[in-house]
Amino acid sequence: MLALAYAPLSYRAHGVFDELLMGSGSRLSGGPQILPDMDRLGQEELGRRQGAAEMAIVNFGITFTVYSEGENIDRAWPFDVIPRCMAESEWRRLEAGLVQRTLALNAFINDLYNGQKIIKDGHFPGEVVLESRNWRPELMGMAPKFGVWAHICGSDLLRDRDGVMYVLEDNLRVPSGVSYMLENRMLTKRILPELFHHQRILPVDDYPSHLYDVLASLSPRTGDRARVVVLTPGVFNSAYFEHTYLAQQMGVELVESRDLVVDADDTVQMKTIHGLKRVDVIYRRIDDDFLDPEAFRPDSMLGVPGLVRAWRRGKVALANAPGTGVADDKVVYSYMPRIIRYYLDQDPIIPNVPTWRCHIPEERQHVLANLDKLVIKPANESGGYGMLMGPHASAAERERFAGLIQANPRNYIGQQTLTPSTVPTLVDGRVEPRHVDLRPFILSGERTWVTAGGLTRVALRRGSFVVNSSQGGGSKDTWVIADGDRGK
Amino acid sequence: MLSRVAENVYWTARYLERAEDSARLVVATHQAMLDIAPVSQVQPMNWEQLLTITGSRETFLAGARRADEAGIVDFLVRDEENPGSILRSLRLARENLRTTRELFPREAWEFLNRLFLETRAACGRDFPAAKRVEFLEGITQECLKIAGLLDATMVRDETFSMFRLGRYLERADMVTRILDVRGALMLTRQEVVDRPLRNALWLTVLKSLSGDQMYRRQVRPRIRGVEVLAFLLKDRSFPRAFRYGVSGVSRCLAAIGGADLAQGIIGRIEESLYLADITRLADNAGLHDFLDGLQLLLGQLHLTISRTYFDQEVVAGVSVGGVVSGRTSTATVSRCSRPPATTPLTGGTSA
Repeated sequence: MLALAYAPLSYRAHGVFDELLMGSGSRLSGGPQILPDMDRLGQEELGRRQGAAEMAIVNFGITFTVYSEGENIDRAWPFDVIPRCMAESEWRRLEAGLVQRTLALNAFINDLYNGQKIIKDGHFPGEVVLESRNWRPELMGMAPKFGVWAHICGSDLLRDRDGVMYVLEDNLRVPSGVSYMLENRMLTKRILPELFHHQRILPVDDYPSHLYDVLASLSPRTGDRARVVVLTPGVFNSAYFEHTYLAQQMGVELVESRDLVVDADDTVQMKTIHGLKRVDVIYRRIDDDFLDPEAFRPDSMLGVPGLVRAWRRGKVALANAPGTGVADDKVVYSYMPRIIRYYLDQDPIIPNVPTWRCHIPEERQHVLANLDKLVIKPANESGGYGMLMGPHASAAERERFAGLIQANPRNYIGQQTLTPSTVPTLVDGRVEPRHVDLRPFILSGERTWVTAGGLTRVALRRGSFVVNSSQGGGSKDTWVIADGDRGK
Repeated sequence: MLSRVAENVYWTARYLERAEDSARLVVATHQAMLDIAPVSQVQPMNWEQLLTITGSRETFLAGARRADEAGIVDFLVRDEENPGSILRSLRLARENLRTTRELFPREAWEFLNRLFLETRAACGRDFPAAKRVEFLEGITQECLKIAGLLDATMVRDETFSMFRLGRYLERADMVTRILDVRGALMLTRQEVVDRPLRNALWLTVLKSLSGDQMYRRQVRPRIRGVEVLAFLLKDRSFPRAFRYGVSGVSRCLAAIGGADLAQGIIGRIEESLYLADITRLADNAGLHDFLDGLQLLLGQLHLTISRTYFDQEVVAGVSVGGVVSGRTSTATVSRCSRPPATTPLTGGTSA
């Protein structure tokens, strides 16, 4: 029998799966002593620690940028001091599932641009790809090193009421958040060192070295040390902090488009105080559309003219590869179980959320008949925009979405509504349950590597499921607790 | 090192030095005014001179500001419409560092970010004269802390040299400004300012540059105008002397390399220092013209450095011409500042 409350802090789970009370890292399964430890600190002291964390965040300038009304505002990163815990045994299974997914995704993208066997074999409907606005037919025949297109992937996991962890989506374009995962750990060590005494927590701070190794391994030149750069859209981008952070941690240059030129020989050069220097690998944090005005969006003034040409000629490596976004699509997502079986001949380790595709008539009928129960998502948006949360929506909103779906069925999917699990969170000095998700990051080069845990995002408003930082979400440190040490 | 990044580093350093020097200047003036006000009939020193030193008189007069002590101090410390105010300088130093912080030890950003935020918070509150010195000395100390951090932890690479370059150049500029207004003013009024008062004024000049103790150790315990002038212009070992700053710029250029044109201008500065007859300069009004000449050379030095490292026309499409500082009739050359920031870019996403 699971405890649904922790009496000393009057903490109760509200009829959903609570990670701390019921999860693999819970107190009862011999996990961390977090609640007793926090109880010992007392609410007042906890509040002080939260204050200290917030002060540290402001002083360190850990921010995300909100650009509105012509001004860019740095908002302090909203951080909750109470970590989210998981046992290593559970994590290893999820890790294997993520590796499996990423291998399949890369095999899928590589196949789409080289032969399209999966379509010819009838396991994937070709029109889904050909109608995607992220499909780049001009890149067919490209064969990036190791067959890898998505070198950096961030997959969102969510645990439902039944305790099962689902993959909600795979972010393959320019997933962000990893710097906050690293900063959250740094903050927890600083603010709540006591909590580290009772268990061994897998470290996360090796991410930048792994990222650097993957990037350097992509260099088209051999011999010399590869010159790797991070390409940022600039200081006005919401993830600019992360761009600087990763460049700093890897010890590489952070460049903007205007710092790069493609020369007559199609090599990419950066403008330095001593003239031009060749660049080998670009970790680009800019969408395909804005990468190169000569390539995908002739109307765009942004980007580096000729960059994609240089990439196609093998003079520079781009991570992620142009064209990867074709698989970052909710409809493609719905086929993931089949994609995994097709390329790897394995059953998916982490299940998909049950999903209905509106371009298939009978599934569309199901979606339209159940708008009050499902979540409706556009196929291509990120950041939680353009969604309908059926159970909470007004009749008028549901009506509007019915119209949108009928006008452009390919662009919508319906998903079963999950109730994300909760984690104790400090809200106005009280410990209360708040809903969370989890975004691990997966690196792919010659081998595939996953962060230990990931970024836990938390919906800070009571009852809300929205975890995006741009919409009132915060984050927590995520602990994967080494198995051997449990219950110590 | 990227040209764009080099330019940001250079301006971070200049604005940081500007904030530090301005804080010191206001403190020195504050203390001198307390000493001088009760004992003298003539008033050879006043708050308005700070507007001339900082080249901000026109901006000051353009707004409806009170030309008294409180009004001028407000303007110099926390008025963000004054491009040279301490708060503005810290904001600009921070904005420049924000885009280059991956090159510096992470504490550099933490310190500067905190310094700006705390200064802004303090500037938003009441601002009594009684707390002025403590507050401004705090700013000077924080700036020194950042410089000390870099000095103690950074590898001696191009970033470090570029930072030092900006600091030295700004410092040399500040020396000429302070000497120009305070020194020239005192010298032209020698007949009406008695000797003890004159010495007190020279002491203020030294203190504005943190040079009083070092002058006494290096030169002599007694304050003499000619010797103060020689010390602040020509001393080779005092880090806030003009020549030391210029040699510092030269060393940094040599470390970075490829700056023959800029070194040529430094040669001309060295030459005019060598040829300067300090005793004669101290005796008549030639000091102002002499210092004005040095300031123009510093302006040229800045432009040449910009063209060498920041605005190279090696590639088509990008070339930003330098803006020549206009010479004004009021004693000092207007301060150079960073060209306007780039326009916002969009196009990245954060999933």
